[in-house]
Amino acid sequence: MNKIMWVLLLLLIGGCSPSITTFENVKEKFENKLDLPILSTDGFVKVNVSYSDKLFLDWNCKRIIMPVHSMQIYSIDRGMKGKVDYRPQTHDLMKDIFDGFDIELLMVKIHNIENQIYQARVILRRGSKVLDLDARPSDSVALAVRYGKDVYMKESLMLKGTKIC
Amino acid sequence: MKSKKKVFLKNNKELIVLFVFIFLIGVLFGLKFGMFNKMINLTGEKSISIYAPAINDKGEGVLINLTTSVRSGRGLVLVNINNVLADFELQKSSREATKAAADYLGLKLNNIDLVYAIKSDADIIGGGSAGAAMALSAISVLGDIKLKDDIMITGIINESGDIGKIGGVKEKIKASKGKASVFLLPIGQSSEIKNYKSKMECKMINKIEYCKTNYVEAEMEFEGIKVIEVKNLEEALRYFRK
Repeated sequence: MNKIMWVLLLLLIGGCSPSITTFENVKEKFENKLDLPILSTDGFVKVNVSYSDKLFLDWNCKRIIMPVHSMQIYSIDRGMKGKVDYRPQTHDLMKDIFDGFDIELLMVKIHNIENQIYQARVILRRGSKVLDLDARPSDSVALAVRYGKDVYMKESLMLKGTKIC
Repeated sequence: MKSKKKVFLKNNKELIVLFVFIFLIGVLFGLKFGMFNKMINLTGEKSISIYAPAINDKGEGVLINLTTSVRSGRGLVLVNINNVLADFELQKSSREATKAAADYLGLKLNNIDLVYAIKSDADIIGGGSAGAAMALSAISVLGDIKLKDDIMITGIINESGDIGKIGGVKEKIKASKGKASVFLLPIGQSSEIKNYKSKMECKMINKIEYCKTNYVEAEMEFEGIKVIEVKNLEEALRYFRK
């Protein structure tokens, strides 16, 4: 009798294991690994963000200097320090809206330059919907630093930056 | 055995090439200076009146009434100063507008006189910004082309028919309010009034609804008037022609 019990128990565990694996796969697929070309970082590099009166994006001894409005610099500063003023900045408000509506910031990418103006994409997700927004790099960075997300920049653009070391 | 013709061609090859070259230069020269343009046969006098925007001596936008007349004559380009004095730039514009109009229509104007008469509240009208309007009015009166009366244009003109930059864009558009529904500007002059809109496109990728936005140029409008940039007379006529 004991032997039969053991065999039945082993069969039950064996039978359940593929289901558990499949469930994990699905969970992983929907939570982390969205299969979308826009989320690919091929040809992009992670940059370090710093600022003075301008925004600096550094990678591998190269620096891109972006002239940015002082209000945007202030917002990036608040975001990087994790501080919120007595009244919230516009990007704090955006974060509240995202959080309130279960919107996740997936990624920010600076992907292009046109007429000497850099262009960025802010990629958001809510459930099974992904929103890929046309944005200014300063807004993208201000959001990314609030979520602790990496800032990606196209390598070919980064290579045109100033040498700093 | 070679024929005499073939021998001649072979022996005088350089000479023939030179003649062809000179002929082509002549054709180009003729095209450039309108030698192949046709004369206009005119009986009596024809005229057309249009409005054109301008800036007065206080820097305000005003509308001027431009009447362009054509009559038999000796190829004169005249600016009527009975109502308002015209400065050097305006005189230069009238000459270049006439040349551009004649070239556009492929006409010789040796046997006609073209008269531009301006009516305005101002005493003196200056600058070349009425050049494009003058050229269009000349094309209209010379080529019997009817123009829409709810369109206005500002811009200098050169002899090739290209429309060039001017000042006081917003003031001129404001002055056209109530008379124009469309306002034509030289290329690159609408930056102050340029407008963009967000365009969203969605599709399904791997069971995910993927939506992408881009900011694209929207139709330009200022003071309720649609604003369009034009490069030359040909483009302007596409909007002006009835």
